[in-house]
Amino acid sequence: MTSSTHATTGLAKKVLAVLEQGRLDHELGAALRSSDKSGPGHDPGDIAPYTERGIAELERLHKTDPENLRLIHHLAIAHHSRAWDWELAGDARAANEWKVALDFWRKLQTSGDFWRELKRKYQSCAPGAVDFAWLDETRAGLLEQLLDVHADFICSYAETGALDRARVHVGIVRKAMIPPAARGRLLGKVFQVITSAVPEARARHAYDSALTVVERFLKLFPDYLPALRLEAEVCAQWLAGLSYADDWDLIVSIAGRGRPWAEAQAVHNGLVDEPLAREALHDLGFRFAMLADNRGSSFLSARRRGEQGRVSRDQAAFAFMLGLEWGRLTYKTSSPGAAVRDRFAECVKGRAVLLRELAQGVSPQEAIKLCKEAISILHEAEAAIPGDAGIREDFLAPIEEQLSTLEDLVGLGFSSGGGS
Amino acid sequence: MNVWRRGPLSRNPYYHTAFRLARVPRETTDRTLIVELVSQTRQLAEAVPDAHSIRGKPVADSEINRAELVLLDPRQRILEELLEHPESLPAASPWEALGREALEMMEAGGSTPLKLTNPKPFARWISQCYGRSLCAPADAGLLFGAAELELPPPWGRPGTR
Repeated sequence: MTSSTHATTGLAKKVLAVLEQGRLDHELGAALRSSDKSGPGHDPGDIAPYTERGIAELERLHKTDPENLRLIHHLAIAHHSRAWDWELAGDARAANEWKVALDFWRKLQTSGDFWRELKRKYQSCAPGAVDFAWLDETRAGLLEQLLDVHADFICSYAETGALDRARVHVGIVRKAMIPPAARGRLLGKVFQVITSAVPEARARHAYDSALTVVERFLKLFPDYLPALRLEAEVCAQWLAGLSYADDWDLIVSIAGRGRPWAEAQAVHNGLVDEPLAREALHDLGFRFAMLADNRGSSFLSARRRGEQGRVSRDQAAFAFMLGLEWGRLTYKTSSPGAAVRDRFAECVKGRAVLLRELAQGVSPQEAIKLCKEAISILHEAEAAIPGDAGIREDFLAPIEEQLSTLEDLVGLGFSSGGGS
Repeated sequence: MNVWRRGPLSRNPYYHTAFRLARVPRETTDRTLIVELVSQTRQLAEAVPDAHSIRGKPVADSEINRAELVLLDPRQRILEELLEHPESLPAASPWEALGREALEMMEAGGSTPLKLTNPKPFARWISQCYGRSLCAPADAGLLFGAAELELPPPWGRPGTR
């Protein structure tokens, strides 16, 4: 074929392509046209953001031409709009629709041609414009802006207590392919909004309300360190105003409430790099251990007899155990000499004393168990305060001696009687 | 400015783009035309409030004003385009481009007419046209001129005999 025939053939193909595009546009226009509108289509309101028929048509065309950016843009708008409507209507299909829409938006974000076209359009709106940095920034932050919508839905649902619906959006934000810094900003925003009432509640000493708000956030983001830290700080502040004698039941209830979050904080990977979060955890452990030690010691020193004595010992045992557990949970990341270590060791000593006392009136086998438990926790205390020779001299050595005696007795065939 | 979060969360932003609020087609970039269209929309909304409504709610004048500001600010306007469907009807530009290309091709070929290098395919078509003209009513033939110029019987068409 001659070059002119080539050129004519090429031109004819282009004519056909333009005609085909015109046909597709016409079909799309018809498919997207609102059912309650009519007219030539010059009013943008004539074209709906989506119609069921329009989306079906777009999907069909997209399958045959997956790289067509106009189609992708149509689909991004249509699916996103439908997801929004379904979300507001409480339709469960919204969860998947958001994801579909975000996939199309991501395709547009990564398409250089799409943004070049926008730049061209910008130049036609602002002739002579040479600064496109703002558009590049928009492109870079496009998904973050789209996910910001989900952050707002999370806040909205959290406020009304609709945590199940909030979790759908938490999943979207968590799984979104965005830089960690962007995800951090989104979570930070949600945290800021949901917990915005906490400072005022703390100022009013309304700690229960403050914790309710923080825990609402933590139920959605259980590993968010700033929230775990805030939980610890509010608990510690609450404890600071309580008395081990008068408010013990409340202290125990706070311990139960804060325990799962403190456990999550203690094993959090980011704790090493967050001194303030570590400090909050140590402070909380210290306060629990201090209150527990004081309460346990007060019962131990009462030296009551009979039934009252037994009750006192039980109370003391429970208090020391609570202090011991909180100390054990929190002291490990603290620096040597930290107050929480001292209080932990005090609770261990109190518990060891009680165990030794308990070992007096039971069988040698039972006594051996109790002594071994005491020795085990005293070793923990030694590890917490390496320089404290008193732990060995005053507590560990006598119990080890007692254990040795008991084991001798058992070896000689004694199976009952006191352990002393 | 996040274009998806300009309104309350309970309002789907795709129904309330500046283009829809102001009734300005997305392809319109001329500032004067935008101002004129917005003005028409404003007049319409003032004259017949229900005539310009979105999802059953009349568009307020303040919304139209805000939309106009968006459309007249090139940056905001471009961002607004993200929320609006691309032009649904083919823009003039592809046709113009084709026209220009065709013109260039014709001009490149010189002023002399194209040579008919292979007339054979046309012979059958010409004979068919000739046959049809003989059987057709006595209107002026497209190829053979007015009826009075045609051959008389027995050479002409049966209907004219």
